[in-house]
Amino acid sequence: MGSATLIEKAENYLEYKAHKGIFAWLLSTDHKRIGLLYLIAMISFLWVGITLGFIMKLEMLTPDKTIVDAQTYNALFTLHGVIMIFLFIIPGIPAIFGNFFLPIQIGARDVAFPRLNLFSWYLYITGGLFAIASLFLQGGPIDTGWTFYVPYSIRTTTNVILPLLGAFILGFSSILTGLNFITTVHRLRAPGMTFFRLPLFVWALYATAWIQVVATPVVGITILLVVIERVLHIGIFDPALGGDPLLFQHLFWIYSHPAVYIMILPAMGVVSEIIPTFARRTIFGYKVIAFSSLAIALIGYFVWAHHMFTSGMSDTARMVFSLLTFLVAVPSGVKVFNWVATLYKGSIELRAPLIYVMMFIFLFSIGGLTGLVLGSLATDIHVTDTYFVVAHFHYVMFGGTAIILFAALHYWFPKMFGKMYNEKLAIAATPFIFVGFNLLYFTMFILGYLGMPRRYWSYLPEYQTLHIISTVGSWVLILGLIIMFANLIYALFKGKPAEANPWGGVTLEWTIPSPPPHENFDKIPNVTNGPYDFSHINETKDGKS
Amino acid sequence: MFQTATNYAQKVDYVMLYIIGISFILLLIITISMIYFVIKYNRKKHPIASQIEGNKTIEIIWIVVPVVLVLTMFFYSYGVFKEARIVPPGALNVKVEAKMWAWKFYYENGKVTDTLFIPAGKPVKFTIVATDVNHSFYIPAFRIKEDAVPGRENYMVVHPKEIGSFDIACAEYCGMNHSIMYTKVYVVPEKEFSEWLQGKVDENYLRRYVASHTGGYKDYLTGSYAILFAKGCVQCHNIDNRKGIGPSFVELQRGFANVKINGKDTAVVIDKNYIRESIINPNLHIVKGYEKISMPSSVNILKEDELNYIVDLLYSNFVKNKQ
Repeated sequence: MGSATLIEKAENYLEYKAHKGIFAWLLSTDHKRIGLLYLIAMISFLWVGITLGFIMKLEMLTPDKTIVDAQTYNALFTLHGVIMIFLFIIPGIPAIFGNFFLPIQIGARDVAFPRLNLFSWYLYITGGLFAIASLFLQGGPIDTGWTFYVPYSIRTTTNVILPLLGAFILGFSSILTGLNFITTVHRLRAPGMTFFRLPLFVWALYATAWIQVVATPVVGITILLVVIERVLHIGIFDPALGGDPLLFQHLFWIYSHPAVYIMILPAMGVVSEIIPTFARRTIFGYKVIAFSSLAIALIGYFVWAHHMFTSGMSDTARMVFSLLTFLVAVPSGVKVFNWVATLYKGSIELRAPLIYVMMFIFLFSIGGLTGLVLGSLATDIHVTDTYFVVAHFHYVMFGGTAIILFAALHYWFPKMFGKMYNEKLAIAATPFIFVGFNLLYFTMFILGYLGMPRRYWSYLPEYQTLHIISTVGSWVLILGLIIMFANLIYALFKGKPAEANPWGGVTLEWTIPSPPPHENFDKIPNVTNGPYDFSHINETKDGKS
Repeated sequence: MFQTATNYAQKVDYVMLYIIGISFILLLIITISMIYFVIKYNRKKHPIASQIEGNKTIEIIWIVVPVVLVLTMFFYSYGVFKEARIVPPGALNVKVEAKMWAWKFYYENGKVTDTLFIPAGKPVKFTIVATDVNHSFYIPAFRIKEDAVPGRENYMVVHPKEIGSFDIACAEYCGMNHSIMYTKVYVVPEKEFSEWLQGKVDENYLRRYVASHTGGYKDYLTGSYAILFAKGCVQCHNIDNRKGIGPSFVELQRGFANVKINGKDTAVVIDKNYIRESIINPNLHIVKGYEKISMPSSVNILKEDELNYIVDLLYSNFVKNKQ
């Protein structure tokens, strides 16, 4: 595809500098550099979020006060949620790996609107700073929970408006990124790159982008309404003024449930990349996986009210939303079956990215299956707003999306930085992450079923044993994460040079050098086959092309 | 460990078992095949992969079977839920009012309580309201909750069966003291309930009744510190050995307290009277080392029978238990 002789002349994107010093980054419109800007920002926010979670778990060691008071704890879980959801999980994989690899995987030199792309990053940073700034201003950090439910968010005296505006700005970053990706996929595919030759990561990003563009404005408007209500007391949501608090919940979840799919679909896309590469075979059921992404994106719009089964909605609404929720579980399940089937009769090399993917399949399945308990009315009424829900969404979001973000980091690290990390250490981190994760979150399923409500600073003494196990789990998990990140950071500086195609992958990013040249391809490739065509590789037997 | 106190709770547990059972089997199939394939088709043993692009039959099966499975879950669960929404004729009406951070229960004859009393064997319809922000009226042992939303009247039906006392928690985040918005529901026989409703017996009588029928009088005094949570005592006074904003209740075990009375250091013997005084008029004698923050009087927080109950609880659990 790419011509090897010309490649040597092209400067790689890390060497190519359009501006001097730090501005080579801050003013770069190169999609790869912007991907790295997002990476740095998000990993930083991730560690802020981890630290907040760590403190929360310490507080949970004893039934009463352990280290922080109730008000601080409420701010902690709010900020943990806001940072992890709005600054890490929602933008995560699309902003980092989508930016970096979407253009390369479709054979383009950049996204459709490179300057808009850089602007999106600045919006992201501005939104993030708004959220963080509320910590240090008078009134104290926001204590509403990341869901900002009214009337509490209208009544509390803490800094609500600033993080809300932060989320509003982040929304625009998300919309513009979505717009950029949709246009890129439609307009910039290389010759021969038909829709059914798109890698499944691109399909997933494409489906996600549509959710970003269509759903995000709803939360933007909702947030503005809350701000207006707080400042001008109009009476939209505040029952004291004739408003309806349930209206807020509907509007909030009309965005925030599809947002769950913004979080998970790109991760599913990454899984569909990693498994074929390490199994060295084509994906099982390409079209089913591609269409199930679209199906999830579509049905995902019609299940929002399953977050509100106890809110006092009509019983008919509860029934309809429960039924639709059960149905949306099916395409996700089908994807899992397809992934496992892709391992069947493969030629499997068990490397770090694949181990993370296996961990994902296990954890995500638990997350998805316990989602059935929450979609079911009788059981949801009992476990909603308890630790069961906390466990469920950490299995899906952390066990799902974040674990795959780590998998993607290991999978594409050699390509992005041209360096190899220490494989043994990368694998050594996984048992800590796996064991720590399950200790930390599985106990929460039990706590929830026992009746421990979420967002509780103190709790009844009978729950203490489980809380202690959970807290110890958080230490083991964090240890695993430290090993993982330390290994990658070390590799960044001291890693051995990576080959162009260390895993034997066949999508377009593996046809160009590591790290990629400034504009990716010296000559736009002409695509003649599907994304996971390993037939010629298996003929050469040694595997590497 | 998992308390079930109504037939409905039992049914919810069965729905749970059904869903979790099927889920567990699916998880097992997925995980075992995944690990089996990774071992069996390891590149060393299996250097050349088969390029299988799909298999219509299998794919249709694994779409149809899950659809059928989730539909059975839906119908089973919906059936159980629907039943719980029916208000039977003759149900007792209790209005539940939630506010930051306490519960109030209004009975048909105008009686108002902080802890809930309901008769066993008679369906109860709760009309749930909130006066400030969202709350959620949650009885884990009954497996049921319903939000209290300002400006709305939500409802919830329970069919209490077992005599006993069960926790009521707030399950919708409502600000600083959300986690201590606990109270108790006492399920008592219809006869005792109507006697109480008519004013023939007091709340403490019902509490003692429940205690004596669920493990004896001793249990009632040693079993639960729920009221200390419900009334906010534990915010400052721990029930274990740790220092809080105020002295731990465990310090009562010493049998005497070093206090300041009118600025003078004195040691006083701890008896029921001392405990009562300390609750009603806390600043009369302050335990040494805790002079900086004064405790508010609890006269307005506790009713007479609750005060008696707490004094009994603290005295018999901490003072009398001293070695």
